[in-house]
Amino acid sequence: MKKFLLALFIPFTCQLALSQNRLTGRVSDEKSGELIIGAIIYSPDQSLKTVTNIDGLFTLFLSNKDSISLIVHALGFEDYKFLIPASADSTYAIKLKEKLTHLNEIVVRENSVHSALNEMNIDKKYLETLPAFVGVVDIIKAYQTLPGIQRGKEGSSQLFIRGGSPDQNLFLLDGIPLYNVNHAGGFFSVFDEDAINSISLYKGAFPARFGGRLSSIVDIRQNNGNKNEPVNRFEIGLMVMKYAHEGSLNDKTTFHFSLRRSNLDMIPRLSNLISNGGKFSLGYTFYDFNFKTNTTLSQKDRISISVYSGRDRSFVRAKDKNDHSSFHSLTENKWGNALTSIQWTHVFQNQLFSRYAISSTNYFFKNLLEAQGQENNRSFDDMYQFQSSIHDIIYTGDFEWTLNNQAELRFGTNFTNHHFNPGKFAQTFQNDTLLIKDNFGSEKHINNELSTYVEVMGKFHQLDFNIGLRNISYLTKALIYNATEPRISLSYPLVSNLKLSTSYSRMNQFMHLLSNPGLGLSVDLWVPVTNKIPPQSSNNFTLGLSNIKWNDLTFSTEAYFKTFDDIIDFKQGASFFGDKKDWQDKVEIDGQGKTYGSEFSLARNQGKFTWSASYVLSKNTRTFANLNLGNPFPFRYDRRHVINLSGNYLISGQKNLSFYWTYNSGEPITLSQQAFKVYTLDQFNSSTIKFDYYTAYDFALRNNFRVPAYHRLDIGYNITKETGKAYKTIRIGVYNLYNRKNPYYLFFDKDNTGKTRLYNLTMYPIIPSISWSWKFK
Amino acid sequence: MSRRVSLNYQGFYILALFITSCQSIIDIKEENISRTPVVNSFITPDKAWAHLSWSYNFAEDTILPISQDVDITITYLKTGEISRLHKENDFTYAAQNSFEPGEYLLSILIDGFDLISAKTSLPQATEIISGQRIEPSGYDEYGDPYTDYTLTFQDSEINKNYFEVFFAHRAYVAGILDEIWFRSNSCLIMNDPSVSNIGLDNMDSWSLLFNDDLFQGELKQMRIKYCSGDYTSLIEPNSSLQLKTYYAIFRDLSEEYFQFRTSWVKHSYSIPDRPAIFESDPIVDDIIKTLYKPDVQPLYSNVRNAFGVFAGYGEQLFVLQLINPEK
Repeated sequence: MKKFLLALFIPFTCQLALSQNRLTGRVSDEKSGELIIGAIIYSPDQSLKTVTNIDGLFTLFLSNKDSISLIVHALGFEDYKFLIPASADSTYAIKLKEKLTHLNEIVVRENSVHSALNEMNIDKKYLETLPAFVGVVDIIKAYQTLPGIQRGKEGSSQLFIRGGSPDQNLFLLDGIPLYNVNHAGGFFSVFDEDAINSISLYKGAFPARFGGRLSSIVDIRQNNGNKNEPVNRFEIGLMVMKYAHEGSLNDKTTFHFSLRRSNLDMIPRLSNLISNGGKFSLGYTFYDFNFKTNTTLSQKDRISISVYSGRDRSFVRAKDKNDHSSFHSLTENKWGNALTSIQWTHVFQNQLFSRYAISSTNYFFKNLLEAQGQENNRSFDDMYQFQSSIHDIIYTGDFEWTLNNQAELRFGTNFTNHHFNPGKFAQTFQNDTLLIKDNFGSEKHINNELSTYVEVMGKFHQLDFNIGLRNISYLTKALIYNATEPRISLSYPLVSNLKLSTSYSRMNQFMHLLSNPGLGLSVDLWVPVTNKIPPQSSNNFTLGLSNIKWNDLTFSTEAYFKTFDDIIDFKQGASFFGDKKDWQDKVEIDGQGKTYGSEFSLARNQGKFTWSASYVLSKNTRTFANLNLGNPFPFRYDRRHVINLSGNYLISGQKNLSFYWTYNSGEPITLSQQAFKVYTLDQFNSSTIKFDYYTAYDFALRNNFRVPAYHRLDIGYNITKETGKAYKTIRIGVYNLYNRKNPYYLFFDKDNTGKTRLYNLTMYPIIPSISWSWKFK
Repeated sequence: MSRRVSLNYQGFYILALFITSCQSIIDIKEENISRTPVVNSFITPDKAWAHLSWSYNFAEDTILPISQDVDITITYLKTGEISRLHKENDFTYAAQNSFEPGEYLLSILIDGFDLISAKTSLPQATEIISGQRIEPSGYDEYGDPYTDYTLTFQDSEINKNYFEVFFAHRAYVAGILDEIWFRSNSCLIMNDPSVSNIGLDNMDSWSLLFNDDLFQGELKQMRIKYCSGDYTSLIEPNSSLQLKTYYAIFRDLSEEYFQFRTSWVKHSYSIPDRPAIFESDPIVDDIIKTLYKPDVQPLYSNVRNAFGVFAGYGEQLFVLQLINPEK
């Protein structure tokens, strides 16, 4: 492999020796000064092409004979054309103007080796063209409208990507993993769109610089702050209120922070206070805090600090008092993330970009039940507590070396010190005469992970390529796991823009997520790889055709095949709670998964009426030796057919009409259609026979029943008006326009005639919504 | 400087969700669900039984007997000796016999159906060294009376062994001559890891089920705390239910019986049911009842071509207390 890599690099380094004039530049938003990530800089004949990195930087090598014109293209911005005179090395600061019109644009970096269906970048304006769900726009939910990405339960912002489970998605916020990305059981994601600069999602053909999860990488970058003017944003609603402020301290330092808090607890609190004087109260709330500051030390050095903190809390409190007794109880669940990162970027010789970071990220879940009181002159004080957490300290060093216009070398290393506390229980029962204290739970694990990668991306004649290798050494208490992950993506233009792409990626994941199998009470417990529990891994293959153009339509298709090994799941009937067993004894290991499918996407991105249509045909199974009699069974989110249609009609500069229709094959669930009587025989001294009988249900096969298909149509109508000093936007929408009774949960119950029937509970019937917002100049 | 203020009435939508959520019926053609024979059969050292019925679909709640001709035999595999079970009523077949410890094969022939068969073993009786109730009884932290019981037995080295211990009392109701057996269903407390290692903690299994994984071939002593409140209430003079005798019951189980009993406990805890507390609110009820349920645990079955179980066990009874003279 070393020889192979050496052979790969030699031609590029030779070309480097012959390099011409060097053009470097930084692309930013003209209005805010915000750096633009992923902007494409290309010559009209496409012979030169490059992309800005996360610092908005790019490098091109130009011939010193002639002047040349270049175009800069970025999502949501007007194209910028400029002429480079024949000269020596030069540096440009390019400022792009924001596009004023709404676009229905999901664009892939055109010089990328990745096919349109492997790397997806959404323009934030795309969110505005989607019908909003109950007045809330969520960036993660916007991804659920794209091919190969499924939602979980209706209303949830969880992502199920190409047959993977939500824990197999790596969410990176400014390059640092974030473990919990949902609030309110998935109703909201933790990402406040005001705080986000860019978001990219990879669902195949993973570059070697990314690793640690099996199914996808979601790379999110926070805003650096407005360089040109201070901006305040304040939003208040009955569901969420938020405040954001950005600006600059001086010429060199910009900052952005935002605070968002849910108001879901306000109404119940008030209602409880009025109805029962506060004797009983319950509520749920969450908050998110984002902060980023960026300081330019010199033309070549920048330092940035990123902070994120988010918490969820649900509680039930009861208290009562009379002459004879008093009572106070609290049941509380808390969970959340915190992330801090200091990053230093340095540019060597304008073509070697380096970034170093020290970061900390953690996730915790805490459950508390306590009761104190007095009854009949006897007092009691009981407490039960459960805590689970994960805390990582991360050191990273990443390098990007632009060898020439045809090749870029990336390499780097990452060391992570993981602290896992899978679950600790503490309980105390105390009264006048008795004190019982007990502490038990799973052993803490401190594991270390060292990964290194090298990645070459570029062009060889007509062939675009990204070839890389990632190596991971993972040290548990008494064992070292080593894994090597080859990555290769190739893309070849057949005719015009039509590209044939293929890729292979091997991925390893050194942690598992044990989730509550219920409806979504957020009890997500991250557990590590241990001596008993091996890492899960996947092999990902893709083959696709993209950019098939016909008039103003673009068609792309891709087939994928993915295998999973060593996935884990709870043993049947097991739960994290309820007994003193270690979690490692409650899980089935050696699980395998297989998923394959084809995705088709057709889009019209020009004109007044823009639309996209996608269809996915797929199959997704899991196999565990001790589940379903060892036979493969459909994964819970196996959907044979998924169709998405979305469109946006620009009526005028201020009015647009949008729709979104989705169809998903029914969810497989384990449903018993037959029952029988079980007789436990109580026979004593053989003198009598007594049969006690109970009803049992036949659940011979896991996920043996398909619930009815899911489909719905949403529409939205937006009007934006300039009124004096403000822009006023009215958003009118209808969710599930034709009131499809989509299944949320199935259960048996008796009908009016006394006959037992299978019932479908629908949580989201037709829901109209209207909202107003004002943006002041 | 720019500023943006927006006002959304989103909270109403949450309320709307709960107000407008609705139920609809999913039609399943019941006639397409074929019936399956159900066998519940047990063998002890002096008797074998089989209870036969049909399964029923979700729309029914009555069971039907198997009306076809049925031939049920139990074969002692060591000698080939065959015992035929005779019909006692529409559902029950039995054979009174002396059955030796060892492997047995159940065979059931029903006209028009494939042969139903299952294997189990009848375990050797464990040597009980002592079983003793500890006086005086005390009260637990909630003020309820409890009694300690110590049990000492010698585990056999030969096989992996399975056990069940529970308490029961025999009583009669005033005016009714037939005696009634009651299994003491609740309040068995023991911190012995032999019991807690089979994963039924916090599930009311109505008995202590355990295996000898942690004490194979050893002399085993257990101390069991059980709530005695229920039987003290039964000896009140005015109670119509009069206690006669209180027993500790020790069972040697076949692996099939053990699997059946433990899977039954998990099955009954994992199937959807309806907590009474939420009866008044069907939506909250439906959500709550699934929130706290683990994945469904299928019921163990060792019977080919039918639902159910064929399992062997033997039992030994120990009188704990004779409250009233036998009538």
